[in-house]
Amino acid sequence: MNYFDPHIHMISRTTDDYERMYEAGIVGVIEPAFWQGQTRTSIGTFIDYFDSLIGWERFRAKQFGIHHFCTMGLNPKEANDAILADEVLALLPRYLQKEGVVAVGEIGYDDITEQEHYVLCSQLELAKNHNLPVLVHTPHRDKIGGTKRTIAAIREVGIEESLVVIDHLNELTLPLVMETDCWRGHSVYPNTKMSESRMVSLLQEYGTEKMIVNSAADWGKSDPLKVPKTGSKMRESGFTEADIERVLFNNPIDFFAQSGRISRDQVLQPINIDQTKTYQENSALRGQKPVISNV
Amino acid sequence: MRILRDEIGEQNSLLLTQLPEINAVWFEKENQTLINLATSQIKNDRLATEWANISAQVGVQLRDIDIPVCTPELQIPSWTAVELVRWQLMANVLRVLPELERRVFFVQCLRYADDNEKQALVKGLCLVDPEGCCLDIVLNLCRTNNRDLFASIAIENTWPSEHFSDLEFEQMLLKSLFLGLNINLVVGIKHRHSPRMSQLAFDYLSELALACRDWPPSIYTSINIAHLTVEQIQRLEMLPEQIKWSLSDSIMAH
Repeated sequence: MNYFDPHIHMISRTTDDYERMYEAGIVGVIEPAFWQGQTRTSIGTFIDYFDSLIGWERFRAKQFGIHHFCTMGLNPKEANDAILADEVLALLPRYLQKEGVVAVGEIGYDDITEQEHYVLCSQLELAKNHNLPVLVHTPHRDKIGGTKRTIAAIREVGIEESLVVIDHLNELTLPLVMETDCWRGHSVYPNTKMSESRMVSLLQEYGTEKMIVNSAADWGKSDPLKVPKTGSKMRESGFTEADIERVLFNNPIDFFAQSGRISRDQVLQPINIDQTKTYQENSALRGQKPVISNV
Repeated sequence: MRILRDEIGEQNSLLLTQLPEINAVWFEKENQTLINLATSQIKNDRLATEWANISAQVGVQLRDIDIPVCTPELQIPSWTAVELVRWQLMANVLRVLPELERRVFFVQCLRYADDNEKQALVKGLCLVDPEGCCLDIVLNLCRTNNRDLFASIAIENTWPSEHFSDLEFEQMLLKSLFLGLNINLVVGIKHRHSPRMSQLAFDYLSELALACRDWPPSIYTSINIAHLTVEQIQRLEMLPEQIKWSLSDSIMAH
Protein backbone atom coordinates (compact mmCIF):
# COMPACT_ATOMS: atom_id res chain seq x y z
CA MET A 1 0.00 0.00 0.00
CA ASN A 2 1.30 3.40 -0.99
CA TYR A 3 0.56 6.37 1.24
CA PHE A 4 0.68 10.10 0.72
CA ASP A 5 1.00 12.66 3.50
CA PRO A 6 -0.37 15.99 2.26
CA HIS A 7 0.58 18.06 5.31
CA ILE A 8 3.95 17.54 6.97
CA HIS A 9 6.71 19.98 7.85
CA MET A 10 9.76 18.02 6.79
CA ILE A 11 12.18 20.87 7.31
CA SER A 12 11.94 20.10 11.02
CA ARG A 13 12.33 16.34 10.61
CA THR A 14 15.49 14.23 10.31
CA THR A 15 16.67 11.85 7.60
CA ASP A 16 15.75 9.06 10.01
CA ASP A 17 12.16 10.18 9.54
CA TYR A 18 12.49 10.08 5.78
CA GLU A 19 13.86 6.54 5.96
CA ARG A 20 11.09 5.38 8.29
CA MET A 21 8.44 7.05 6.16
CA TYR A 22 9.72 5.37 3.02
CA GLU A 23 9.80 1.99 4.74
CA ALA A 24 6.23 2.53 5.94
CA GLY A 25 5.07 3.11 2.37
CA ILE A 26 4.90 6.89 2.16
CA VAL A 27 5.89 7.75 -1.40
CA GLY A 28 5.03 11.44 -1.46
CA VAL A 29 4.49 14.44 0.80
CA ILE A 30 3.28 17.99 0.63
CA GLU A 31 5.03 20.45 2.88
CA PRO A 32 3.04 23.62 3.59
CA ALA A 33 4.90 26.84 4.30
CA PHE A 34 4.82 27.31 8.06
CA TRP A 35 6.10 29.38 10.95
CA GLN A 36 9.29 28.34 12.67
CA GLY A 37 8.22 28.26 16.31
CA GLN A 38 8.78 31.96 16.82
CA THR A 39 7.83 34.75 14.47
CA ARG A 40 10.10 35.83 11.69
CA THR A 41 11.04 39.47 11.73
CA SER A 42 12.20 40.29 8.22
CA ILE A 43 11.37 39.46 4.62
CA GLY A 44 14.77 37.91 3.99
CA THR A 45 13.99 35.00 6.29
CA PHE A 46 10.85 34.26 4.29
CA ILE A 47 12.77 34.32 1.01
CA ASP A 48 15.36 31.90 2.37
CA TYR A 49 12.69 29.62 3.79
CA PHE A 50 10.59 29.58 0.63
CA ASP A 51 13.70 28.86 -1.42
CA SER A 52 14.52 25.91 0.81
CA LEU A 53 11.04 24.44 0.33
CA ILE A 54 11.47 24.29 -3.43
CA GLY A 55 15.19 23.60 -3.30
CA TRP A 56 17.06 21.78 -0.58
CA GLU A 57 14.05 20.05 1.03
CA ARG A 58 12.76 18.78 -2.31
CA PHE A 59 16.22 17.40 -3.01
CA ARG A 60 16.57 15.90 0.46
CA ALA A 61 13.25 14.02 0.17
CA LYS A 62 14.21 12.64 -3.19
CA GLN A 63 17.43 11.28 -1.74
CA PHE A 64 15.24 8.96 0.34
CA GLY A 65 12.82 8.00 -2.38
CA ILE A 66 10.00 10.39 -1.51
CA HIS A 67 8.33 12.84 -3.89
CA HIS A 68 8.19 16.29 -2.31
CA PHE A 69 5.78 19.08 -3.13
CA CYS A 70 4.94 22.19 -1.19
CA THR A 71 2.45 24.98 -0.69
CA MET A 72 3.37 28.61 -0.31
CA GLY A 73 1.74 31.19 1.89
CA LEU A 74 1.89 33.40 4.96
CA ASN A 75 0.66 31.44 7.94
CA PRO A 76 -1.73 33.07 10.40
CA LYS A 77 0.79 33.06 13.26
CA GLU A 78 2.85 35.59 11.32
CA ALA A 79 0.04 37.55 9.74
CA ASN A 80 -0.37 40.16 12.46
CA ASP A 81 2.80 42.11 11.64
CA ALA A 82 1.07 44.27 9.06
CA ILE A 83 4.15 45.71 7.38
CA LEU A 84 5.93 42.39 7.08
CA ALA A 85 2.72 40.69 5.97
CA ASP A 86 2.38 43.06 3.04
CA GLU A 87 5.96 42.36 2.03
CA VAL A 88 5.30 38.62 2.05
CA LEU A 89 2.06 39.00 0.10
CA ALA A 90 4.00 40.92 -2.55
CA LEU A 91 6.62 38.17 -2.64
CA LEU A 92 4.25 35.21 -2.96
CA PRO A 93 3.25 35.48 -6.66
CA ARG A 94 6.84 34.72 -7.66
CA TYR A 95 6.82 31.48 -5.66
CA LEU A 96 3.31 30.42 -6.63
CA GLN A 97 4.55 29.88 -10.16
CA LYS A 98 7.30 27.47 -9.22
CA GLU A 99 7.31 23.80 -10.14
CA GLY A 100 6.34 21.68 -7.19
CA VAL A 101 4.18 24.38 -5.60
CA VAL A 102 0.75 22.79 -5.60
CA ALA A 103 -1.34 25.22 -3.56
CA VAL A 104 -1.54 28.38 -1.50
CA GLY A 105 -1.15 27.50 2.18
CA GLU A 106 -1.24 26.97 4.96
CA ILE A 107 -3.33 30.06 5.60
CA GLY A 108 -6.20 30.86 7.91
CA TYR A 109 -6.87 32.33 11.33
CA ASP A 110 -4.97 32.12 14.58
CA ASP A 111 -6.33 34.77 16.94
CA ILE A 112 -9.04 35.68 14.43
CA THR A 113 -8.05 39.34 14.14
CA GLU A 114 -9.02 41.77 11.39
CA GLN A 115 -5.43 41.78 10.15
CA GLU A 116 -5.50 37.98 9.87
CA HIS A 117 -8.75 38.23 7.94
CA TYR A 118 -7.19 40.67 5.50
CA VAL A 119 -4.18 38.38 4.97
CA LEU A 120 -6.39 35.31 4.55
CA CYS A 121 -8.62 37.00 1.99
CA SER A 122 -5.61 38.41 0.11
CA GLN A 123 -4.18 34.92 -0.25
CA LEU A 124 -7.51 33.44 -1.28
CA GLU A 125 -7.51 36.06 -4.04
CA LEU A 126 -3.98 35.07 -5.02
CA ALA A 127 -5.09 31.45 -5.28
CA LYS A 128 -7.99 32.50 -7.48
CA ASN A 129 -5.71 34.49 -9.76
CA HIS A 130 -3.16 31.69 -10.02
CA ASN A 131 -5.76 28.92 -10.42
CA LEU A 132 -4.38 27.10 -7.43
CA PRO A 133 -6.10 25.15 -4.67
CA VAL A 134 -5.85 26.34 -1.06
CA LEU A 135 -4.91 24.67 2.21
CA VAL A 136 -6.58 26.36 5.17
CA HIS A 137 -5.62 25.84 8.79
CA THR A 138 -8.37 26.11 11.42
CA PRO A 139 -7.36 27.81 14.67
CA HIS A 140 -6.43 26.02 17.87
CA ARG A 141 -8.78 28.17 19.94
CA ASP A 142 -12.36 29.09 19.05
CA LYS A 143 -12.20 26.35 16.45
CA ILE A 144 -15.89 26.43 15.68
CA GLY A 145 -15.95 30.21 15.31
CA GLY A 146 -12.77 30.10 13.24
CA THR A 147 -14.16 27.44 10.91
CA LYS A 148 -17.36 29.43 10.40
CA ARG A 149 -15.38 32.56 9.64
CA THR A 150 -13.15 30.59 7.27
CA ILE A 151 -16.17 29.40 5.30
CA ALA A 152 -17.51 32.95 5.27
CA ALA A 153 -14.17 34.27 3.98
CA ILE A 154 -14.10 31.67 1.20
CA ARG A 155 -17.56 32.77 0.12
CA GLU A 156 -16.69 36.44 0.49
CA VAL A 157 -13.73 36.09 -1.90
CA GLY A 158 -15.68 33.82 -4.22
CA ILE A 159 -13.10 31.08 -4.75
CA GLU A 160 -14.61 27.71 -5.71
CA GLU A 161 -15.19 25.74 -2.53
CA SER A 162 -13.97 22.57 -4.22
CA LEU A 163 -10.58 24.25 -4.53
CA VAL A 164 -10.24 24.57 -0.76
CA VAL A 165 -9.30 21.99 1.87
CA ILE A 166 -10.13 23.06 5.41
CA ASP A 167 -7.73 21.24 7.68
CA HIS A 168 -7.36 20.18 11.31
CA LEU A 169 -11.07 19.34 11.53
CA ASN A 170 -12.61 17.48 14.45
CA GLU A 171 -15.96 16.14 15.61
CA LEU A 172 -17.39 19.62 16.04
CA THR A 173 -16.03 21.35 12.95
CA LEU A 174 -16.33 18.60 10.34
CA PRO A 175 -20.14 18.87 10.21
CA LEU A 176 -19.76 22.57 9.36
CA VAL A 177 -17.50 21.80 6.40
CA MET A 178 -19.71 18.92 5.26
CA GLU A 179 -22.30 21.54 4.37
CA THR A 180 -19.91 23.02 1.80
CA ASP A 181 -18.06 21.72 -1.26
CA CYS A 182 -14.73 22.13 0.49
CA TRP A 183 -12.48 19.15 1.10
CA ARG A 184 -12.14 17.90 4.64
CA GLY A 185 -8.65 17.72 6.16
CA HIS A 186 -7.77 15.98 9.42
CA SER A 187 -4.46 15.94 11.23
CA VAL A 188 -3.64 12.88 13.29
CA TYR A 189 -1.30 14.49 15.79
CA PRO A 190 -0.63 13.32 19.35
CA ASN A 191 -2.59 15.04 22.12
CA THR A 192 -3.60 18.23 20.41
CA LYS A 193 -5.45 17.09 17.29
CA MET A 194 -7.04 13.84 16.05
CA SER A 195 -6.17 10.28 16.97
CA GLU A 196 -6.34 7.26 14.65
CA SER A 197 -9.37 5.80 16.37
CA ARG A 198 -11.28 9.09 16.32
CA MET A 199 -10.40 9.49 12.67
CA VAL A 200 -11.81 6.05 11.92
CA SER A 201 -15.00 6.96 13.78
CA LEU A 202 -15.40 10.05 11.62
CA LEU A 203 -14.84 8.03 8.45
CA GLN A 204 -17.42 5.50 9.59
CA GLU A 205 -19.93 8.24 10.28
CA TYR A 206 -19.32 10.56 7.34
CA GLY A 207 -17.85 8.31 4.64
CA THR A 208 -14.69 8.70 2.62
CA GLU A 209 -15.66 11.26 0.03
CA LYS A 210 -13.34 14.28 0.04
CA MET A 211 -11.82 13.12 3.30
CA ILE A 212 -8.11 13.76 3.69
CA VAL A 213 -5.79 12.65 6.48
CA ASN A 214 -2.34 13.95 7.31
CA SER A 215 0.16 13.89 10.15
CA ALA A 216 0.92 17.65 10.28
CA ALA A 217 4.19 16.48 11.87
CA ASP A 218 6.46 19.39 12.68
CA TRP A 219 9.07 20.53 15.19
CA GLY A 220 6.76 19.57 18.06
CA LYS A 221 6.24 16.14 19.59
CA SER A 222 4.57 14.56 16.56
CA ASP A 223 4.70 11.42 14.44
CA PRO A 224 5.46 11.36 10.71
CA LEU A 225 4.01 7.87 10.43
CA LYS A 226 0.46 8.80 11.41
CA VAL A 227 -0.88 8.34 7.89
CA PRO A 228 0.12 4.65 7.57
CA LYS A 229 -0.90 4.15 11.21
CA THR A 230 -4.34 5.50 10.36
CA GLY A 231 -4.37 3.04 7.47
CA SER A 232 -3.71 0.19 9.89
CA LYS A 233 -6.49 1.38 12.14
CA MET A 234 -8.87 1.60 9.18
CA ARG A 235 -7.95 -1.93 8.19
CA GLU A 236 -8.56 -3.22 11.71
CA SER A 237 -11.94 -1.50 11.68
CA GLY A 238 -13.08 -3.23 8.53
CA PHE A 239 -12.37 -0.67 5.82
CA THR A 240 -11.36 -2.22 2.49
CA GLU A 241 -7.99 -1.68 0.85
CA ALA A 242 -9.78 0.42 -1.75
CA ASP A 243 -11.22 2.67 0.99
CA ILE A 244 -7.80 3.06 2.58
CA GLU A 245 -6.20 3.87 -0.74
CA ARG A 246 -8.94 6.36 -1.47
CA VAL A 247 -8.53 8.31 1.77
CA LEU A 248 -4.79 8.00 2.26
CA PHE A 249 -3.55 8.26 -1.32
CA ASN A 250 -6.09 9.15 -4.01
CA ASN A 251 -8.02 11.90 -2.20
CA PRO A 252 -5.08 14.10 -1.19
CA ILE A 253 -3.40 13.79 -4.58
CA ASP A 254 -6.63 14.39 -6.48
CA PHE A 255 -7.31 17.51 -4.45
CA PHE A 256 -3.89 19.04 -5.08
CA ALA A 257 -3.90 17.79 -8.69
CA GLN A 258 -6.25 20.69 -9.34
CA SER A 259 -3.06 22.73 -9.50
CA GLY A 260 -1.95 20.81 -12.60
CA ARG A 261 1.40 20.18 -10.94
CA ILE A 262 0.91 16.77 -9.31
CA SER A 263 -0.80 13.54 -10.33
CA ARG A 264 -1.24 10.01 -9.08
CA ASP A 265 0.91 8.68 -11.93
CA GLN A 266 3.68 11.07 -11.04
CA VAL A 267 3.67 10.11 -7.38
CA LEU A 268 3.51 6.41 -8.20
CA GLN A 269 6.62 6.72 -10.31
CA PRO A 270 9.42 5.29 -8.15
CA ILE A 271 12.39 7.57 -7.65
CA ASN A 272 15.84 6.46 -8.67
CA ILE A 273 17.66 7.15 -5.43
CA ASP A 274 21.19 8.39 -5.96
CA GLN A 275 22.75 9.60 -2.77
CA THR A 276 25.98 10.50 -4.52
CA LYS A 277 24.21 13.56 -5.85
CA THR A 278 24.50 16.92 -4.19
CA TYR A 279 22.43 20.09 -4.08
CA GLN A 280 24.52 23.22 -4.37
CA GLU A 281 27.45 20.98 -3.45
CA ASN A 282 25.72 19.85 -0.27
CA SER A 283 24.89 16.22 0.45
CA ALA A 284 22.29 14.80 2.84
CA LEU A 285 24.89 12.27 3.95
CA ARG A 286 27.61 12.74 6.52
CA GLY A 287 30.01 9.96 5.74
CA GLN A 288 27.46 7.19 5.25
CA LYS A 289 27.74 4.91 2.26
CA PRO A 290 25.53 6.37 -0.49
CA VAL A 291 22.51 4.35 -1.58
CA ILE A 292 21.92 4.05 -5.30
CA SER A 293 18.83 2.26 -6.49
CA ASN A 294 17.78 1.92 -10.07
CA VAL A 295 14.05 1.24 -10.34
CA MET B 1 1.74 58.28 28.40
CA ARG B 2 0.63 59.11 31.91
CA ILE B 3 2.16 57.19 34.78
CA LEU B 4 1.40 56.94 38.50
CA ARG B 5 4.53 58.76 39.67
CA ASP B 6 3.89 58.70 43.38
CA GLU B 7 3.07 55.01 43.46
CA ILE B 8 6.17 54.16 41.44
CA GLY B 9 8.23 56.19 43.89
CA GLU B 10 6.69 54.43 46.89
CA GLN B 11 7.38 51.07 45.30
CA ASN B 12 11.00 52.07 44.80
CA SER B 13 11.37 52.99 48.47
CA LEU B 14 9.85 49.72 49.54
CA LEU B 15 12.14 47.74 47.25
CA LEU B 16 15.21 49.36 48.78
CA THR B 17 14.17 48.21 52.23
CA GLN B 18 13.79 44.64 51.03
CA LEU B 19 16.98 44.13 49.05
CA PRO B 20 20.10 42.93 50.86
CA GLU B 21 22.44 45.88 51.30
CA ILE B 22 24.95 44.85 48.67
CA ASN B 23 22.21 44.47 46.07
CA ALA B 24 20.53 47.69 47.13
CA VAL B 25 23.80 49.58 46.61
CA TRP B 26 24.20 48.02 43.19
CA PHE B 27 20.59 48.84 42.28
CA GLU B 28 20.92 52.49 43.33
CA LYS B 29 24.10 52.88 41.33
CA GLU B 30 22.64 51.42 38.15
CA ASN B 31 19.41 53.28 38.69
CA GLN B 32 21.32 56.56 38.89
CA THR B 33 23.20 55.71 35.72
CA LEU B 34 19.92 55.36 33.87
CA ILE B 35 18.42 58.49 35.44
CA ASN B 36 21.47 60.52 34.44
CA LEU B 37 21.23 59.27 30.88
CA ALA B 38 17.51 59.94 30.76
CA THR B 39 17.93 63.52 31.93
CA SER B 40 20.83 64.16 29.59
CA GLN B 41 18.48 63.98 26.63
CA ILE B 42 20.19 61.14 24.82
CA LYS B 43 18.17 59.36 22.22
CA ASN B 44 15.59 56.89 23.49
CA ASP B 45 17.19 54.10 21.54
CA ARG B 46 20.45 54.38 23.46
CA LEU B 47 18.61 54.74 26.73
CA ALA B 48 16.64 51.56 26.07
CA THR B 49 19.86 49.77 25.16
CA GLU B 50 21.35 50.84 28.49
CA TRP B 51 18.28 49.58 30.30
CA ALA B 52 18.60 46.26 28.46
CA ASN B 53 22.28 45.96 29.39
CA ILE B 54 21.57 46.63 33.04
CA SER B 55 18.52 44.38 32.97
CA ALA B 56 20.69 41.53 31.77
CA GLN B 57 23.03 42.13 34.72
CA VAL B 58 20.10 42.08 37.12
CA GLY B 59 19.70 38.42 36.35
CA VAL B 60 23.27 37.79 37.43
CA GLN B 61 23.33 40.16 40.41
CA LEU B 62 20.14 38.90 41.98
CA ARG B 63 20.35 35.32 40.87
CA ASP B 64 20.58 33.89 44.36
CA ILE B 65 18.14 36.29 45.96
CA ASP B 66 15.03 34.65 47.22
CA ILE B 67 13.29 37.42 49.11
CA PRO B 68 9.52 37.68 49.58
CA VAL B 69 8.88 40.69 47.43
CA CYS B 70 6.09 42.85 48.65
CA THR B 71 4.31 45.04 46.17
CA PRO B 72 1.26 46.57 47.83
CA GLU B 73 0.89 49.17 45.12
CA LEU B 74 1.14 46.66 42.37
CA GLN B 75 -0.90 44.06 44.23
CA ILE B 76 0.78 41.25 42.42
CA PRO B 77 1.79 38.37 44.61
CA SER B 78 3.91 36.54 42.10
CA TRP B 79 6.90 38.82 41.45
CA THR B 80 10.44 37.59 41.73
CA ALA B 81 13.14 39.95 42.97
CA VAL B 82 14.72 39.94 39.52
CA GLU B 83 11.46 40.91 37.85
CA LEU B 84 10.72 43.68 40.31
CA VAL B 85 14.17 45.22 40.01
CA ARG B 86 14.00 45.16 36.20
CA TRP B 87 10.61 46.76 36.22
CA GLN B 88 11.58 49.36 38.83
CA LEU B 89 14.63 50.44 36.80
CA MET B 90 12.42 51.00 33.75
CA ALA B 91 9.65 52.68 35.75
CA ASN B 92 12.10 55.07 37.44
CA VAL B 93 13.28 56.21 33.99
CA LEU B 94 9.69 56.84 32.97
CA ARG B 95 9.32 59.11 36.00
CA VAL B 96 11.97 61.46 34.69
CA LEU B 97 11.14 61.35 30.99
CA PRO B 98 8.79 63.88 29.39
CA GLU B 99 5.34 62.43 28.93
CA LEU B 100 5.63 62.40 25.16
CA GLU B 101 8.78 60.26 25.23
CA ARG B 102 7.62 57.61 27.65
CA ARG B 103 5.78 55.32 25.29
CA VAL B 104 8.64 55.22 22.81
CA PHE B 105 11.08 54.30 25.57
CA PHE B 106 8.78 51.62 26.97
CA VAL B 107 8.22 50.09 23.54
CA GLN B 108 11.94 50.01 22.86
CA CYS B 109 12.63 48.33 26.18
CA LEU B 110 10.12 45.69 25.20
CA ARG B 111 11.79 45.31 21.84
CA TYR B 112 15.18 44.66 23.40
CA ALA B 113 13.83 42.50 26.19
CA ASP B 114 13.94 38.73 26.12
CA ASP B 115 10.83 36.91 27.26
CA ASN B 116 11.84 36.89 30.93
CA GLU B 117 12.42 40.63 30.84
CA LYS B 118 9.14 41.23 29.00
CA GLN B 119 7.35 39.38 31.81
CA ALA B 120 8.76 41.85 34.28
CA LEU B 121 7.74 44.88 32.25
CA VAL B 122 4.13 43.87 31.66
CA LYS B 123 3.45 42.83 35.24
CA GLY B 124 3.62 46.45 36.36
CA LEU B 125 1.50 47.96 33.57
CA CYS B 126 -1.11 49.26 35.99
CA LEU B 127 1.37 51.84 37.33
CA VAL B 128 3.18 52.78 34.12
CA ASP B 129 0.19 52.80 31.78
CA PRO B 130 -3.02 53.39 33.76
CA GLU B 131 -4.73 54.79 30.67
CA GLY B 132 -4.04 51.92 28.30
CA CYS B 133 -1.80 53.64 25.74
CA CYS B 134 0.02 50.42 25.05
CA LEU B 135 -2.99 48.31 24.20
CA ASP B 136 -1.78 47.37 20.72
CA ILE B 137 1.60 46.31 22.08
CA VAL B 138 0.13 44.21 24.86
CA LEU B 139 -2.31 42.54 22.49
CA ASN B 140 0.64 41.66 20.28
CA LEU B 141 2.49 40.23 23.26
CA CYS B 142 -0.55 38.07 24.01
CA ARG B 143 0.19 36.22 20.78
CA THR B 144 3.23 34.64 22.41
CA ASN B 145 3.39 30.89 22.81
CA ASN B 146 5.53 31.35 25.91
CA ARG B 147 3.20 30.28 28.70
CA ASP B 148 4.98 32.27 31.40
CA LEU B 149 4.99 35.45 29.36
CA PHE B 150 1.33 35.08 28.53
CA ALA B 151 0.55 34.37 32.17
CA SER B 152 2.30 37.56 33.24
CA ILE B 153 -0.35 39.46 31.24
CA ALA B 154 -3.38 37.30 31.86
CA ILE B 155 -3.00 36.09 35.42
CA GLU B 156 -3.15 38.28 38.54
CA ASN B 157 -2.81 41.38 36.40
CA THR B 158 -5.44 44.11 36.63
CA TRP B 159 -4.50 45.79 33.37
CA PRO B 160 -6.34 43.61 30.81
CA SER B 161 -9.67 43.77 32.62
CA GLU B 162 -9.40 47.58 32.57
CA HIS B 163 -8.35 48.04 28.96
CA PHE B 164 -9.18 45.00 26.82
CA SER B 165 -12.37 45.07 24.79
CA ASP B 166 -14.88 42.28 25.36
CA LEU B 167 -13.54 40.37 22.36
CA GLU B 168 -9.94 40.78 23.47
CA PHE B 169 -10.73 39.73 27.03
CA GLU B 170 -12.61 36.69 25.79
CA GLN B 171 -9.69 35.66 23.60
CA MET B 172 -7.29 36.11 26.50
CA LEU B 173 -9.46 33.95 28.70
CA LEU B 174 -9.77 31.28 26.03
CA LYS B 175 -6.03 31.22 25.54
CA SER B 176 -5.54 31.00 29.29
CA LEU B 177 -7.67 27.86 29.29
CA PHE B 178 -5.83 26.53 26.27
CA LEU B 179 -2.50 26.98 28.03
CA GLY B 180 -3.79 25.25 31.14
CA LEU B 181 -3.70 28.33 33.35
CA ASN B 182 -5.96 28.72 36.35
CA ILE B 183 -8.52 31.25 35.19
CA ASN B 184 -9.76 31.77 38.75
CA LEU B 185 -6.68 33.99 38.94
CA VAL B 186 -7.72 36.17 35.97
CA VAL B 187 -8.54 39.55 37.47
CA GLY B 188 -11.96 40.81 36.47
CA ILE B 189 -13.32 37.51 35.25
CA LYS B 190 -16.55 38.00 37.17
CA HIS B 191 -17.41 41.56 36.13
CA ARG B 192 -16.16 41.04 32.54
CA HIS B 193 -18.04 37.79 32.11
CA SER B 194 -20.23 37.62 29.00
CA PRO B 195 -22.56 35.11 27.28
CA ARG B 196 -20.03 34.74 24.47
CA MET B 197 -17.37 33.82 26.99
CA SER B 198 -19.57 31.03 28.29
CA GLN B 199 -20.17 29.79 24.74
CA LEU B 200 -16.50 29.88 23.72
CA ALA B 201 -15.41 28.08 26.87
CA PHE B 202 -18.14 25.49 26.47
CA ASP B 203 -17.08 24.80 22.88
CA TYR B 204 -13.53 24.31 24.07
CA LEU B 205 -14.70 22.03 26.89
CA SER B 206 -16.73 20.02 24.36
CA GLU B 207 -13.72 19.56 22.09
CA LEU B 208 -11.60 18.31 24.94
CA ALA B 209 -14.31 15.99 26.23
CA LEU B 210 -14.98 14.50 22.79
CA ALA B 211 -11.25 13.93 22.35
CA CYS B 212 -11.16 12.20 25.77
CA ARG B 213 -8.66 14.73 27.08
CA ASP B 214 -8.49 16.34 30.49
CA TRP B 215 -9.77 19.85 30.92
CA PRO B 216 -8.69 22.51 33.41
CA PRO B 217 -11.01 22.41 36.46
CA SER B 218 -11.23 26.19 36.46
CA ILE B 219 -13.00 26.13 33.08
CA TYR B 220 -16.34 25.91 34.86
CA THR B 221 -15.75 29.38 36.27
CA SER B 222 -16.13 30.76 32.77
CA ILE B 223 -19.34 28.93 31.82
CA ASN B 224 -22.80 30.00 32.82
CA ILE B 225 -25.19 27.34 31.55
CA ALA B 226 -27.87 29.97 31.09
CA HIS B 227 -25.74 31.55 28.34
CA LEU B 228 -25.41 28.43 26.20
CA THR B 229 -27.11 28.22 22.82
CA VAL B 230 -29.78 25.66 22.00
CA GLU B 231 -27.26 23.66 19.97
CA GLN B 232 -24.82 23.69 22.88
CA ILE B 233 -27.48 22.51 25.33
CA GLN B 234 -28.24 19.64 22.96
CA ARG B 235 -24.55 18.86 22.72
CA LEU B 236 -24.34 18.74 26.51
CA GLU B 237 -26.29 15.49 26.33
CA MET B 238 -23.41 13.88 24.41
CA LEU B 239 -20.80 14.89 26.94
CA PRO B 240 -19.77 13.08 30.15
CA GLU B 241 -22.23 13.36 33.03
CA GLN B 242 -19.70 15.05 35.27
CA ILE B 243 -19.81 18.08 32.99
CA LYS B 244 -23.53 18.51 33.51
CA TRP B 245 -23.11 18.20 37.24
CA SER B 246 -20.20 20.60 37.33
CA LEU B 247 -22.06 23.16 35.26
CA SER B 248 -25.06 22.86 37.55
CA ASP B 249 -22.75 23.57 40.46
CA SER B 250 -21.35 26.56 38.62
CA ILE B 251 -24.86 28.04 38.39
CA MET B 252 -24.73 28.38 42.16
CA ALA B 253 -21.42 30.20 41.85
CA HIS B 254 -22.72 32.55 39.16
